[in-house]
Amino acid sequence: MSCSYAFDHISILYADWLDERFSKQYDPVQRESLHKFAVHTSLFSRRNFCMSKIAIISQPDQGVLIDVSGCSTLKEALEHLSSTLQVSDQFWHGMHVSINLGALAVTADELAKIVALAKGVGIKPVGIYSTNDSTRESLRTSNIPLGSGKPMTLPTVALDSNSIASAEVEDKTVQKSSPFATITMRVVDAMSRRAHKEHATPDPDQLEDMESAHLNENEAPQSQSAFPHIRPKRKVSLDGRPIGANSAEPSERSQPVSKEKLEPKQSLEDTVPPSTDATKEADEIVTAIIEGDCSRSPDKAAADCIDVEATVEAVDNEKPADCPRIDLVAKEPVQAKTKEECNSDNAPGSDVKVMTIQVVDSMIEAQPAQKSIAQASTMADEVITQVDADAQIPASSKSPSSTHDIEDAEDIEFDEEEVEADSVDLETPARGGPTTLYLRQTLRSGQTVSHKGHLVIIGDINPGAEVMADGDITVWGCLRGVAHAGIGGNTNAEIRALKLQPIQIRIAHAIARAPDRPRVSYSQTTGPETARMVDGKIKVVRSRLD
Amino acid sequence: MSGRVIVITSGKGGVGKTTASANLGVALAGTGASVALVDMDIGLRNLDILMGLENRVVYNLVDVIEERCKLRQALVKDKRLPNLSLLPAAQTRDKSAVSADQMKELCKELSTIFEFVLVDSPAGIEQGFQNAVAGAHEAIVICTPEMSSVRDADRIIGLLEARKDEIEQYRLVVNRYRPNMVQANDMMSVEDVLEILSVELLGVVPEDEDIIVSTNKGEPVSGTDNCKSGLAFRNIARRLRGEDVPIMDFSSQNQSWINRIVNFFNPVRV
Repeated sequence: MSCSYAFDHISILYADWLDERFSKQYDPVQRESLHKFAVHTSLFSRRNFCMSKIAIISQPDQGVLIDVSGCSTLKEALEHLSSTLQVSDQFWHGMHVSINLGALAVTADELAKIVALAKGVGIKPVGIYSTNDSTRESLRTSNIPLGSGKPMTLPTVALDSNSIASAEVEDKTVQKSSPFATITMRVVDAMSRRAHKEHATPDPDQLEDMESAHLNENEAPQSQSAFPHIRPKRKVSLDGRPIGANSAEPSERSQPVSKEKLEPKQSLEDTVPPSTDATKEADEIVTAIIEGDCSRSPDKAAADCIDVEATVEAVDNEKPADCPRIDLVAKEPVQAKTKEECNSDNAPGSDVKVMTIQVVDSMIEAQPAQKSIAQASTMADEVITQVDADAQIPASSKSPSSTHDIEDAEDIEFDEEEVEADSVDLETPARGGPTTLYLRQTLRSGQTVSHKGHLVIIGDINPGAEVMADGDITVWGCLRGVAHAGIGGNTNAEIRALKLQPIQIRIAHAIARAPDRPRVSYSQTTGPETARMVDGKIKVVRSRLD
Repeated sequence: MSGRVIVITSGKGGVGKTTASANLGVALAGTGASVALVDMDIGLRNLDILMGLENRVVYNLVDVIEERCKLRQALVKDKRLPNLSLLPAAQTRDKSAVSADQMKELCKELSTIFEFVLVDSPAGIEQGFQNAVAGAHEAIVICTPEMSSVRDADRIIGLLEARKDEIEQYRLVVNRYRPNMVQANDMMSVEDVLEILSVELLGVVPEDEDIIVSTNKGEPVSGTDNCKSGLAFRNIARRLRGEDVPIMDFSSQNQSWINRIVNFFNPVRV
């Protein structure tokens, strides 16, 4: 069983490496609940797990370890911890849970807070690990059992860019011996941070009324794409590519073997979109992943993001300025490019490494159909690019250094010609990732769910709740809160609900609000509706169910 | 220009802080002043609903404080009054998302833009209250004529007095006042309340069904005519601006129509 789950800031990993290292089988009950949790939080994405601030690690003989040592402050840790625990409360009951606080300094009062938080979702931590002396002291005073032994940590693949070739070989052998082995990588603190920063940021000034659209199903503009794309297109394509390659097998949701092994109560088919038949072809994919050292501080990580981007910008500048369009089938020498990145990344002051790992996967499934139109392939790799003919995200006319600066982005002018020329959207696959989060619950006021991928919610979204997803948002129920699809800038994202009565709808950079008076009374049914972006405006159309 | 930062607080919940904030905001803006309404009830935001601006909220106070957006971006302009803006609270966070120092800074910044900054405080005396009070120069204490509310208001006034350096002035608004019950001795009168609290009275707002209607509509009553609670809020706004407006006389309002006719013909009795 090898899978990893990306859920916002959380990574969950229970993988072959545990089996291999400990030669232990999971307790079947534990296995099942882990699996259930997996289905609850996110679908399988073997390669695509983002290690960020907090990790949930299944320890075969010691229950589950929640590792918050990646957080630099207690506040951050608590925030992540609460989001982790709350999302999955039904899972935690009866589990042995220990918490690793790492080097965080925690007072007795704050410890009580943590314990209270855990208690709220039915956890009594069996042990808390800490390497900090003052924390250990406060643990002792507040009578909380100290974790025994050393806490398990996620495995790291520390490759330096010179040893790419050997890494490939290594991974190949792993793959051969165990076709479902996961490449476990400590990834992408930097990447996830960057993704976060790139969230589409609608401009409230551009808020227009959605009323007209509701009254007239096919007409009426509601809101204008307020921000130009925050990042220059070319840059996106370049540093988006590695991630895109990473998600080249985006729909590897069902893993037959693991399914059989676990016999999950909740059928996986429920959550697999119909368009994802396994092609069962062995594909070779080069995944280039920006390796971030997890021990560094968030600020530094942010700085590193900028470094990487600056690098890509440099690469960019070497290209003719007047070729903004990316060929559908890019025959660009990716290898060479990667080298360029490596070289510049090795420049002093930057500890971001780019590594290339070759993966053989026999379980690759078809990419999410409608979206991926083009494949750019070279000798050793395959880069899936998503081409979106409708996407008209204008390129930023500002220098890339301003891309983190929302304030600046606001002032960027639209340039029609540039918009025309730059209609290739490579960003979607890069960040969207293949995963679908499937939630069976009603979200109430104050609750948020955000997910890098598609989001399916069986239940209502009440006013005051917020859902955000990189891909589509589908609500089998009534959407009354705020929904933001395509947070990474994917203008193809859609929001659909059985009852679409949102306070606001946001797609990529556009934003539409509900009419000031409710269109229909709450009890009145309107039938399923879909909100999508048409010509840069959000439109609501009644869905046809034939 | 340095505007006045006024916190609207009560201690007890459900006495009408948010309603008063919305109505005073509208009433003050109606007098021509530029007004910012700040919802400090993080996690339980309501002010935007009362103002009918719920669907316009994109950024919120916590976004401003955590520098995810500019203050200007988070301010939501009122539908009717261009000189009235709302800074909504975050719904998905809690009171600990903001510190008192950050609030001070924010209030200072707002007071350079607006003549009046009305801060709607959450119920309670914990961190939410401390944050709301942090940047304020004046306070309006809301209480209803009930023992529990008066007791809580007393506690709040004590806490405000402890902040004498920052809070220069605190005044009382008696809300949900029912003159006919007072007359029947079933409710504390304004005088009773003042006797306990011994604080300057800013206004008395009668209980009014229109408030419920206006809350559901998202149109504060002080923006509409012919409604006694709206008039009371407008009077309070004028008093805040320094005008000398007498406290509304409720004695004529608590009479049945027969009594009114009798009084009409017999003015001596009034």
